[in-house]
Amino acid sequence: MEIITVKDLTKTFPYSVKEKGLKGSLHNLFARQTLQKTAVSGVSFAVEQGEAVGLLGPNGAGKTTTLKMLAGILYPTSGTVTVAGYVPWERRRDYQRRFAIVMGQKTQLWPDLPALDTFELNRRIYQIDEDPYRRTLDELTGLLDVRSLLQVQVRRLSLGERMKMELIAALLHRPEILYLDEPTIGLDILSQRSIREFLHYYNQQTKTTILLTSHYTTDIEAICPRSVIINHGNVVFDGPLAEVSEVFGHKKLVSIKARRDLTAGELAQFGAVRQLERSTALLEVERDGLERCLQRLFGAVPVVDLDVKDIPIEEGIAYFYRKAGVDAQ
Amino acid sequence: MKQFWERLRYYLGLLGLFAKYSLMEQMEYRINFAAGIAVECGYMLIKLMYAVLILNAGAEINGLTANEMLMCIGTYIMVTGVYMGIYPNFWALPLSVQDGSLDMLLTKPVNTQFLITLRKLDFGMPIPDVLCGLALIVYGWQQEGLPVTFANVAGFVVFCIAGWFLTYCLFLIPELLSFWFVSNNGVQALSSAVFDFNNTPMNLYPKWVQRLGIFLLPVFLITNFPTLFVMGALSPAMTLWGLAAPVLVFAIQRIIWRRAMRRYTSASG
Amino acid sequence: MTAAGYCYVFGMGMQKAMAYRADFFLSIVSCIFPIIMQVYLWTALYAAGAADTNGYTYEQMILYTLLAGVTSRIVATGFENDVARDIKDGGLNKYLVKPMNYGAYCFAQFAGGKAAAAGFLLAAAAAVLGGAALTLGVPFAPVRLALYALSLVLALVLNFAIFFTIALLGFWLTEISQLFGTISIVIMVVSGGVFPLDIFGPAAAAAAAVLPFGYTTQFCVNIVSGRLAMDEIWPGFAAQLLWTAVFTAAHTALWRRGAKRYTAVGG
Repeated sequence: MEIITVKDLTKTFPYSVKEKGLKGSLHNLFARQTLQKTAVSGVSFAVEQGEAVGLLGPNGAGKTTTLKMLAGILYPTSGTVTVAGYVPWERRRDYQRRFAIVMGQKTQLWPDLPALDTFELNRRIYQIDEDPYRRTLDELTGLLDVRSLLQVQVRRLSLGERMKMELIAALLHRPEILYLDEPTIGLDILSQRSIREFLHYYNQQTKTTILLTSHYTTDIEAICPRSVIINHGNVVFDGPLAEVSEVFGHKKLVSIKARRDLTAGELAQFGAVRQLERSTALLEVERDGLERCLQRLFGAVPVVDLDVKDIPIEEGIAYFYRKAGVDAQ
Repeated sequence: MKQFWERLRYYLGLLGLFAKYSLMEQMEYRINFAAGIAVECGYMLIKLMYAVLILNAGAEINGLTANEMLMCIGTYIMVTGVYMGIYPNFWALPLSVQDGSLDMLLTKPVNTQFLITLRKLDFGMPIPDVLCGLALIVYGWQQEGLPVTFANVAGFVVFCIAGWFLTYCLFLIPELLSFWFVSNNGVQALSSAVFDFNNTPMNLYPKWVQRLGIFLLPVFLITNFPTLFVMGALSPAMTLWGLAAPVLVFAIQRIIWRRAMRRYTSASG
Repeated sequence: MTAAGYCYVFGMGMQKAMAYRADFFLSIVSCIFPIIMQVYLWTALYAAGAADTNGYTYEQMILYTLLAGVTSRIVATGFENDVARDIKDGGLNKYLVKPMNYGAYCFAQFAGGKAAAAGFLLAAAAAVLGGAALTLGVPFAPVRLALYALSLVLALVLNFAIFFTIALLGFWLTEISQLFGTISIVIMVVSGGVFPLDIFGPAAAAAAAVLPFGYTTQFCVNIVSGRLAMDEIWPGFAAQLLWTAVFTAAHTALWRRGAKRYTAVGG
């Protein structure tokens, strides 16, 4: 069943420009020029119930704006969205009880109080009964391993612990849909991993629909079987993330280490030379003729070590970022 | 009807929780708490300077005796003091518009205005004002020998509550302008300048200023109506207006609120 | 940072003042209301035969009210909010790592903002003085006008030092910016920005003479209104300079301890 349907979603907002310097200020004092910035333009996609979908795109691509419109925080300029039968920006209470949003850069926790107090507030706001609340809290704190930290003031927690608390605060009312905006931003590797594992597990177990934006492809690979790449406000890719690199699927990377220093000239016949430093080199080679190419290589160069890899997924993503006209940041 | 009581219980329950959390927070920052009280005491003394000037004059001015004017000043000090109890929310509003911390609040299944304007309560700052205001009211009331009947006291309290409600709305409106302008310091300065007219009872001002302050921008209701009611100086029409104005202003405020929300949700990225 | 650097910051202050154009006009407009209120208050009190006002005639009182209103607007600050925010949000770090003096930086910006508003404010002061001279039929002595201008400059510096000191308390009082609105009203009143403080009796007058606040407003007004005799003016200037020195020493000390604490806690 389709739970999120986004059609031709567009969002522009005004911003004012100022000429540089004092003269600009003076001019600005009396007449201000306003321009329109397009954050999202004609985005369409759909998400099935229980699916976990990753939203990818360079900075300023409109991922967060899209998420905010889905959460009803922003009105779109045009286009339609239905989530579980609701129009998000009408901000119906019934809809608000069915989703949750966690933003890596924003908090809903009261910094000077223990997280447990914010949880209690959410229990009252969402009118969760005592028993299911306790069960949920117990389960979530167990899964995220933060049970011993419930009584600690939020501002004394580490960033990773804080994000875990944010997740719990968001999930207490058992939302059907969970929006996540950069949930692992700025966290250490261990915290990132445990949050990733938790989200994957939670999605599998509860069939909660997840829509996630992240700069870390590992996040998306671990949690989301499907990804949507947005750039310049447009959808440029929609499918499993692994397929992203298929644009380079006909190529392989070969890294070699030789017994002597190499030259670009002698390597050029095997493939495109990406890197070359003394006795090590990285070559981009056509997959089709890989075997023959390697045999020739062994014949021509005194190889000590050799490794064949796929082109990393980030390069596929970067390709899609560029495709719409801008370089990935 | 049953639904209404349920909603009321729901919101009062939340308010109780806000009060508890705010108190817990304030206990964390005791120096801030004490500083708030100290500064508010200073402000109260400033307002008392007007009382001193009027007492020094000692005369009856345009129908109000010095004692009655003391009651007016006391009312103003008390009502604005209670407003200081929710001031942190108003103070934080422009900032949360700028840094987008409103976002999370907008997704909650609760009345947004309730959440945004009553979430943080300050228990320190109202203390000096309420004590001093009450003292002035009681002193003036007694000295003037006004009858202490149930009707008088109840009427006084009702008009004080109406005044508080007006204060809430009239201070909220300028804060809402922060949804349109990056900085609303100017509007805030303007609105508190208008409120300063309440530093003295309205009988000191010419009729046209009084009319503006009663009907156009009903700030004078806050300071003067409770006392005028007890004095029996409010005509039935004025009594009615005194009760209707807060409702009207609230309705206007709600319209601006909705526009502000609409603006926030459509104009920001 | 070099003098040229601070000049640039001065220019930034001017630009900032102009960028917030609505604020700029409204804050000018908003200083009119309290003046209107005061004028009616005094009119009513004098009409009721009120008043032990320590020898102020009605005209003198109105003149004081008008001049104090304009003067307190001229010396008013506003940078304290920025300072408190820098301290609270960790924005201070970007200044701490640069070879510059944060106080001087704030002052340059404050002065720039004042320069941007100077035209309006001085025009307002000139209007009040011109109107008063016409109404009362007595022109103000040029020497007093010149001394008034000088006292304003010193008052600006003094008020900066006072408010910068208060703002630095933000190192210890995290929520201080909530109090700034009230603090600045209280300081304005105890500076004589609303009433002349000597009408509250000799004790208040003595306190005003001893405390620093009166030297940011009341003293300046009294120079031009003629309430101070010429030989009383010079000690006033000395007091302005002395208090500026005291507050500069105070905020330097606060800065040193605060910045140390700030870097130790990690902002």
